Amino acid sequence: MVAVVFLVAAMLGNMAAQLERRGLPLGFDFLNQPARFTVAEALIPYEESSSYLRAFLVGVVNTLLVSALGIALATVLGVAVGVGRLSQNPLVRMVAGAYVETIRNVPLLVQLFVWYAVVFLNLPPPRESLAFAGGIFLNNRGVYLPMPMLAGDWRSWAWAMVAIAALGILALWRVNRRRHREGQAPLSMSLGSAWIAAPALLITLAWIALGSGPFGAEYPQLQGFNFRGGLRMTPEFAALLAGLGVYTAAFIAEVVRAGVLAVSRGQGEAAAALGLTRGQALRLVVLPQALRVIVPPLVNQYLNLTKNSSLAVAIAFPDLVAIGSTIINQSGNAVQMMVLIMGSYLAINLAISAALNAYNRRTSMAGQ
Amino acid sequence: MRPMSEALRAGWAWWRCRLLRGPGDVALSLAALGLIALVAVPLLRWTLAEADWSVVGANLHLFLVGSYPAEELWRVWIVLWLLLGWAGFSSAGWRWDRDARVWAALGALAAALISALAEDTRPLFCAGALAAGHGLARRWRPGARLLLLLWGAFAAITLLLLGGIEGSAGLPPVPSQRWGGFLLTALITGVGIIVSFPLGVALALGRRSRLTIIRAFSIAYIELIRGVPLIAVLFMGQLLIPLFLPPAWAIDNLIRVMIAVVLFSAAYMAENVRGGLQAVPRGQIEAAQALGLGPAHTTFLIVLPQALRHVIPAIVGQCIALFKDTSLVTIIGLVDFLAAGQASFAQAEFAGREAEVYAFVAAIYWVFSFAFSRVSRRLELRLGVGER
Repeated sequence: MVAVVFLVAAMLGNMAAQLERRGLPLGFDFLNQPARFTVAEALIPYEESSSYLRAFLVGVVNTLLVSALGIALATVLGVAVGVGRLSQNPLVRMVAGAYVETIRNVPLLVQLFVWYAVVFLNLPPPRESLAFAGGIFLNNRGVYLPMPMLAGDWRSWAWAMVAIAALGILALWRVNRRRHREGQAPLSMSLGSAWIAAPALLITLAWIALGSGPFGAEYPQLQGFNFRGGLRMTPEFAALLAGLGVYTAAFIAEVVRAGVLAVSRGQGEAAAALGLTRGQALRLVVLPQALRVIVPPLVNQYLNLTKNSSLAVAIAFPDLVAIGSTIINQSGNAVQMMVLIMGSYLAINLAISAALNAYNRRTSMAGQ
Repeated sequence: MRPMSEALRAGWAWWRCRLLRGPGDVALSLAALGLIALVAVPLLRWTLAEADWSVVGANLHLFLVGSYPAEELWRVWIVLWLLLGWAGFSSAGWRWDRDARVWAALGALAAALISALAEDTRPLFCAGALAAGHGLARRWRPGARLLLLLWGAFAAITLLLLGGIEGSAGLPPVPSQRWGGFLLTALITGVGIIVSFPLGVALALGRRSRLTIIRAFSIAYIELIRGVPLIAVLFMGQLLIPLFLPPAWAIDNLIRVMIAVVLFSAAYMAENVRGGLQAVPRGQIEAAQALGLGPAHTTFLIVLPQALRHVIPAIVGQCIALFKDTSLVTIIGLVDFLAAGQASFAQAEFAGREAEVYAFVAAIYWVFSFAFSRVSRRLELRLGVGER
């Protein structure tokens, strides 16, 4: 015990002495100095004269963006593949199984390099882009998508939506008051919101049909050698998103499969005996119980995806580790930046865990 | 695959009942077939016809040992044979069922094929070393303590052989910057697993300790390390370890990386072992105390063996993950297997061959990871995980 304390003190003492010798104080003031380096992609305004702190924030926003989109992609793909592995169709089972076994056993960094160097950088130049329906273009400068915007009569439409919501809430309140007076249970949340959503949806569709729809898009146009307008995903971002999504989807597929298999066969058989179709049995009996087993490891996979997004530094995407290491190289304040980097990841992890633990409590309280 | 032979023998009925049960099923089957045709066929065609695999053949030295001097390669060969021999020696209790016989035959065949292709007899000695070790083990039946001693000796001999001795003529020193390729990957994986395992067990036990400061430290360490990515821990190791030590101690870059990997892996091992510790019934501890065993004996003789048996799959999974994670040292400049690949297509005559190199690297990683996971399943069966 005493030895450990002594050792730690010696290490800290060494560190302080060396930092002093290099003229690097242990404060965080250096963050206000101008950064003087460019960042390839920034979602918040950033110039070379912005502070180090701003540069780091650009990195944090990039990490959050890629993590959020990656989680969405991985979940959709992972659930599909997981259900596919349980299919009764042996072809589908084989394809899903091959996918999972291949992706899980190859390191993520190798997969990222393959996505970046072999797929996205080998796409044709902008003038010969691969074009898909709906204004989507793939070329070696990135992935171009139409940018959804509010257009036309959108202000009137917005007011109409507000009016419908207000009227709907008022009506619901009166209905629930009457039901409470008559001793009935109040209308459930889902039914109530369905009553508000239906007219809102109808009016929106009518608005779109009449031509001055509230939703529009800015389509990418080829002008000269490049595309202008629309939404652009750089090859680095696209490769990182694709790699992370596909990799984590394989693990999520296994989690989903384990969850569904954990529900005892008797439940499925009882549902069949009651006359439920396979789809109904899955949705009403198996899935709610499976979710209890799925959610904790699923949270783990989401956290893994967020941490794996740090590999962006290998394919030149400016996430928080990449920008952090640039700042370390330029300013020399390694200790503070490492504290910042680790603190950011811990904060993101806490946020995701807290949000999903709340969901976990909702799905696991039922009967357990 | 048995179902396949069934399909060949059975007829239309088999296929129809499984693949074409209804319109939805037909659509799914067609979609799956379409996917296979879209992905697998071009891939096969590219692998066999269009790819230029000379980049792999010409750079085999780089892939396997990095920039280790060619005239000192005999040392690496000796280390490999010793490793296989020792592994064979430790496999005394290996059950020779059909699976094991198939794998042994495949291994011998692969070694013979490589020997024939490379016109070199040394790969054959690998198979020979493994067989010799196993044969000796069946006759002598070594105990656990002897095996531990031998593996310790192996570690020392490996370091000596690979690194060399200053000023000696027969074993000139080879600095660790020149160790690269698959040798480096295997080294970091091995050291990572071996050192992080006792550290992880210690942390897991510390997490259950009654002394608040040990418990607090263990929990803080585990949660901190598990919350940050490996690349951050690697950067931390590279940048901060020299700061913590007096400047006179110049620490090798490789050792810094190994320390970072060990620290990272220990936290995950600790969580796995914690799961196993929680699965041991309290009655075991109480019975041990009733028999008069002290806390140290209880832990090491009663609790730990049972706990570790429960978490073998998780621990082997962690080992496989560590093997794949060693690829990250590419980012901090060490020339491991992946970085060797990148160096190979950076050469002028192989420019543009990224696809072949990455395909080869991915295939090798896949083979080893898949093999490890099969070994883990055999280990589970052998130790009876899930029974009793």
